[in-house]
Amino acid sequence: MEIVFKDVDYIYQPNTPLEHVALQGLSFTIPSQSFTAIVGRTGSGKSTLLQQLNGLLQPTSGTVTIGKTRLPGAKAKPLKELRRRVGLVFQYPEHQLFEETVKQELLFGPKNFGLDLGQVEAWLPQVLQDVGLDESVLERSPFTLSGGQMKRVALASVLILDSEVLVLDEPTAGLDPVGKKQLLQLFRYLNEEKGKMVVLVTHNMEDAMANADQLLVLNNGCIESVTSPKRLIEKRDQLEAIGLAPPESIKFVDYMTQTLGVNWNEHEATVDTVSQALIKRIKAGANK
Amino acid sequence: MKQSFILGQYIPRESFIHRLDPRTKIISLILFVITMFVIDRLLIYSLLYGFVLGCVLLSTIPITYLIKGLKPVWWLVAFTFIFHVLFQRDGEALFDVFGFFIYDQGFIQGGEIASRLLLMIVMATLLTLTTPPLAVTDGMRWFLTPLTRLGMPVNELAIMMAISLRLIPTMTEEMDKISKAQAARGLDYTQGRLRDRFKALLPLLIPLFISAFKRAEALAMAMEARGYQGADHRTSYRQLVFRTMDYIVVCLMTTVTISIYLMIG
Amino acid sequence: MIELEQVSFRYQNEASHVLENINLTIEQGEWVGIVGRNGSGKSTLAKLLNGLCLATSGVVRVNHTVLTDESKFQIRNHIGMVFQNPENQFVGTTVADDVAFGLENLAVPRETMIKRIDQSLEQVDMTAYKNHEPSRLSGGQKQRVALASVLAMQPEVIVLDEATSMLDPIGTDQVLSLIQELHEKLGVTVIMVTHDLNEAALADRVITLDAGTVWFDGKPRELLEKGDQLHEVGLEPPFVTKVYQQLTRQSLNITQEPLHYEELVDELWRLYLKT
Repeated sequence: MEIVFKDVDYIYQPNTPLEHVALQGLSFTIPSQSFTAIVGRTGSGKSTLLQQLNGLLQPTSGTVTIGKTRLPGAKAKPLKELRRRVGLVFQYPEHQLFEETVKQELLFGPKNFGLDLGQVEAWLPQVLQDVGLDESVLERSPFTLSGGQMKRVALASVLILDSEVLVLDEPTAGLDPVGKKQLLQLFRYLNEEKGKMVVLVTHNMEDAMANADQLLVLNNGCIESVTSPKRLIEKRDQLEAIGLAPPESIKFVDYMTQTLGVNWNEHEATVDTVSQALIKRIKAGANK
Repeated sequence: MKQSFILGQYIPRESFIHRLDPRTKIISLILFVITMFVIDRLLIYSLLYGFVLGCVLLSTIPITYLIKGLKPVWWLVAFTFIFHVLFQRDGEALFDVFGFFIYDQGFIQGGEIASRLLLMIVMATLLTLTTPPLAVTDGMRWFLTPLTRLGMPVNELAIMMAISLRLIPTMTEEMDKISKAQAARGLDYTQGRLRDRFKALLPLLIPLFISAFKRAEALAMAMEARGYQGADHRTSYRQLVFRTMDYIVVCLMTTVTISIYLMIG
Repeated sequence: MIELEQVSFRYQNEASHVLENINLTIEQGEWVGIVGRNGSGKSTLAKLLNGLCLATSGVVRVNHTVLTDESKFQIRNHIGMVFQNPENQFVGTTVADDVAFGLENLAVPRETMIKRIDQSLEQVDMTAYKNHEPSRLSGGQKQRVALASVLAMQPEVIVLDEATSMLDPIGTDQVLSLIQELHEKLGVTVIMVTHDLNEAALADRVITLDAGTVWFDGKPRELLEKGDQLHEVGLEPPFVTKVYQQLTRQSLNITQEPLHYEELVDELWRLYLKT
């Protein structure tokens, strides 16, 4: 399934004094089974954009085509079908929990979409394992869990729909570094092993660059660039100009090329590539 | 729904009406309502319409916005009018519809009552559209202050009002977010039988209440950390300033109300 | 300034302690980072300092006054606190009203209030937003207002409870550089709860909590020296620390653990490349 935006505008409260243009002239394609990151500052239109991906908002003008469904214009039934195929996890999804037990919480979506509950129940242990929860939580109330566990339950409640596309809005916000790393690994696994399209919306360039194979940079409701994360190193000045901070690794590379005259032609700034470049430079000696 | 109904919204502008003291606007609104209930002549009603229209124009709020935003009110006004026309039994019979007589008093009284309703709502909406909610609260608090002596907790009420006003946009946003998050999990509360639709509200209301309680707890903690110990013995940063313009408007409104009363009496 | 003696804390009706036998002294003018994984007790520790939580056993002293249910109001005048969620600590309807809130509680006369509001908004560079409503501000701006609200009350200590964790990188940078400036200029004591070691590296001293006890208390450099051991307490070593480890493994000798990439690069220049 491929997602295509064509000349998409979105305006909040059009023709009122409170009118607000959130998206303007967006055209781009998200290839099927890709891992795409949408980055931009707070207020750049990221969250308006992601709601177009499953028809929660529909373009004021232009079209969004998701697989066979085209927006605007889809009827209620295909729209609901679209929502099953595109799983959307909002920021702080733990705020949407409401059932008495974790199990009921997980079955909420499948019931709404009329999935085969027997099949879904058989699949519960796998989903719990994927998000790093123990099966013993199933009968517990979600509200007795820690914040991090609640987030995982909320995430599992969408994963269980086995959607082809997974859209995630700042999924690691509020987690500590270890919890964050685990979730990002899970998304990569879902993308690489299970062939799902993952769309990660974030303001964290580090996560975006480390995981995505396509990057969509959003600024003031417009597309600033569509690029591969590897090429982003070249555009770091442009990024800083629109208020996106490059990750520590990129700043590191910048500083060492300037101060030490290191010859940098790697695509990715990792611990290994940076260390190697430094050692090479030192071996070359003082009179280079 | 949110974007179409405007009662209680505030549109920041720099108009004459915006700049008036909230107390002036509240007094004027009260005087206006009194006038409306005193008079019973159609000619003076047309003056009132003119006055309201003048206020709307002065406020620089687009009339189309007001008309669209008060859509539910139009229905109510139209219903009131038609109800009176059909069921008023005084005065001369004008004509009959299938043996059902329509009287002239029906039109007159229907017109009066519908006009009162309409004008009152437009004026009240104009007050909130041109006055920041907190200023409305400050104005009301000023009028209620004498009641503190009777043991009414006016200061507490004012703080409660102010915090509720502060939280309305936050909670509206939260509600929007939760309903979208549940829609993404396939919830649909616009279809099905009434009982099912009611049941479908739980996934919205439970998280909303939980989040409201959590927010309240966090906010209480933040207030306490900044030394809040109760609403009394505090000084106040906000001050209402009654300017020359306010005196003139209040005097003018009072004079006009009294002269209309005398004229009719 | 602040002393904790054998302090333990547990929530009512819960068996296990959130904090157990904590002993600490924080001096005036210090900048202390408190780090640890979620649930390690770091936020609770912050709340014990101004009486938002009261110790189950042990003694907390601020300026030699024992913190109790009675003395907490007076102590709160000395300790300002900025919380994690910008949305949940904005009390006023506008920026100026929010800054005024604490001053109104202290019953500061209106003339002084106006001066202090202007002054503290100036300090956090938010003067232009004085009459704005919170919904029109970004997270970073809201946190700067929260700082202004605290500053207006002229506290000796500012406690930041994960104040940057919900901000985007630009907002985080703005808040951090502001705190650095206030610490240098006004000499306020800063206590900063965080799980970001890059942030903690800005402090003079870092306290690491694990399961309610102190796992480490010392200079940030010494904490980073622990390298991979940091994973045990749920922390991620910064990029520069990982590069540093890689370089030492390749038998490059560098005199001290770098706190920052610039430090490491400068050091390499000084040791190996300068002629």
